[in-house]
Amino acid sequence: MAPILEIKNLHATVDGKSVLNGIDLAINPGEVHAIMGPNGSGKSTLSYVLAGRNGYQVTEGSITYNGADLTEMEPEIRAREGVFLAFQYPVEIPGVAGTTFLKTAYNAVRKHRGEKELDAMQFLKLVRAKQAELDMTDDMVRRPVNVGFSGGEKKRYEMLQMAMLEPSLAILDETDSGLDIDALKTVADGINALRSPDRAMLMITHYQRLLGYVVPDFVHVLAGGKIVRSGDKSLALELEKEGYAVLGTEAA
Amino acid sequence: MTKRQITADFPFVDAFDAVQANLPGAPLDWLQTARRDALARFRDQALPNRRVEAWKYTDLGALAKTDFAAPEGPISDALTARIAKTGDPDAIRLVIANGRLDSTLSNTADLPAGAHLLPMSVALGSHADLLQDHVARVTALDGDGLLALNAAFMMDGYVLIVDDAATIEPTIEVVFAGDGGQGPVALHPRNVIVMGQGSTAAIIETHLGDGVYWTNPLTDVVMGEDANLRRYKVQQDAPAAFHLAHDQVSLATGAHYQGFLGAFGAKLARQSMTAGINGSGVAFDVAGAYLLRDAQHNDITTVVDHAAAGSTSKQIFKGVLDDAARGVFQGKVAVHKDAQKTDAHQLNNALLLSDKAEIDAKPELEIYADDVKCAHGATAGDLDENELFYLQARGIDAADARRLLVSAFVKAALDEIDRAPIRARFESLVDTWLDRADG
Repeated sequence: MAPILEIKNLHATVDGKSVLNGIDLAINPGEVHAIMGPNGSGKSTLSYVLAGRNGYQVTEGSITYNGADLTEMEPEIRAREGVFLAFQYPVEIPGVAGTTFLKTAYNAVRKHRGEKELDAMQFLKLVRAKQAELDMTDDMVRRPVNVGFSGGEKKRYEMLQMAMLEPSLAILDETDSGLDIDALKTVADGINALRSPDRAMLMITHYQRLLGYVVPDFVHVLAGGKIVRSGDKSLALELEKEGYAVLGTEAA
Repeated sequence: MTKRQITADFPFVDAFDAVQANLPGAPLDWLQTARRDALARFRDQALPNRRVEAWKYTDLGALAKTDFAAPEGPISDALTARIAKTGDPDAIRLVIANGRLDSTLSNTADLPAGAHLLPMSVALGSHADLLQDHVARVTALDGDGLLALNAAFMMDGYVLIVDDAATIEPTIEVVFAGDGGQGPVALHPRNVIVMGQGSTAAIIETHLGDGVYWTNPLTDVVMGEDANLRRYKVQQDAPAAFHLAHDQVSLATGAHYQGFLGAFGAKLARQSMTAGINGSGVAFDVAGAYLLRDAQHNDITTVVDHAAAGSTSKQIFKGVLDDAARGVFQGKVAVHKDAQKTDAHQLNNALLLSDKAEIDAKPELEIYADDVKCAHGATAGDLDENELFYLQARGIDAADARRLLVSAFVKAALDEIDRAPIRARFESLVDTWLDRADG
């Protein structure tokens, strides 16, 4: 079985500063991997490098996604090819109606996959079904993108977008941050609903909390821009108990 | 003495005697006198240069070098066809082509009772007293050479008179066309709006054309007590055109003026407006969007004069500047000593899509009252990288993402338009502008 994502010896810089220093990671279809690590260990950088953000420069190594070189693709092509980044801080975009945004994104992805674009009615029906699962109202979906949303609402809106775009690689960057327990459960349910044998997930998190609801197959610890330990879900519990300090790494 | 003038040698000015014989109201002695006086003022004032504070950012040098003649003959068939397709085909409309009423393209048959819509050439006969007052008002204005030229060469524009207490529901259309196909022409349309006490009306003006022409419209708006006017303007003039417009608005107690300007066309455009707030409970609200590319230049210069207590004014302008386009916003708010409880708000936001684009914004507050709220803001920036990346990360390509963000930016001004079909028309004009950016 070929991995969906295969990262080899990945080095990357942000604004000329080296942040990732040789990451190796392979994620197979159906697997959920968690990356944990202290602040500044390079977790968010990894997510932006995968999504193709400007200013995040790969200087060495490779990222292979479904057999293709991911680093060669524009961010929008990555998204259409099925890479989805759930943002740690979803961006507010005043003046752009949520439905327009979602429909434009949805149809761009469908078109790329050779599927028929949906008309307004079909699209609305689909959104309604998905939003109900995430306890979102029509009003929230229609509002300008993320404007006036609470932290929890923003994360639910990310999950709605993920559910609509049906990625093959979902990267969840600190999706649990800023959520109260109810919102955390809703969001976790949303993630679990999307777990499937042909989809890969990469959860980036500082705390073990979310992993209690979305149980990962593998846990990796990132420190100083490298994976310093890998294990199963018990590693997360160990870190929760002992803290990152036990790793004895420079970044901890 | 420092020279504050640009001397211009326009063929149409030299031909004044011949030209004026064909202008509206030519046989009227009082008007002939007013025209000749205005011509003398122009000869004295010439065109303002950039040492004149109000013209600091807008250079009329290229205009002065163009050999403008008075328009002759009909406009082209192609332009006629475009006029016919402009706006709502069923609307009550006047078409002014090269400074003259085009009666075949106009339709005022369905005008509701209480409203009078006439071209200047007709109104000078039918509403002589009202227009004599109006011309006297224009003569008394402390204007520049452009205003003097309009006064000397006043051509057809629209005269809209709304009776006291009349409510005119449909939006009236006026289309101004300039055709420079036979060589550069200068047009000096004159519009007059007189809103009776407690009257309500709405009007939309569209300016378009072909070739090199200069339109120099002057609009005099007099609003009676509690009158309500919505006035929309679409400036889609030809890429080589000059559009230099001045609006003079006078508002009595309780009057409400809602203006909107969509500026898309012309090589060099300026909209200046002066509002005189002469009573309490007045609301003077103007908004606009200017979307420019290539080397287009658009200047919006406003003077809002709060001479009475307890009134409000609001100005919201959004500019989108691509390539080497340049925007100018000069907004002056004056609050007189007795104009307590004035609430004046002014905002100009510019989006610069290119390193070579430029915006010059100059807000100016002159406040002599002590119990007022006056706010002004001017910003300039480019598209937000975080917003762009967020959209791209959802599969939306860079061009579409920029398009969504530019529309969103302009929307804040368009949202000031409270008539949905009119708002939709401006939205579609913005879309058309954006379509060209993709091509």
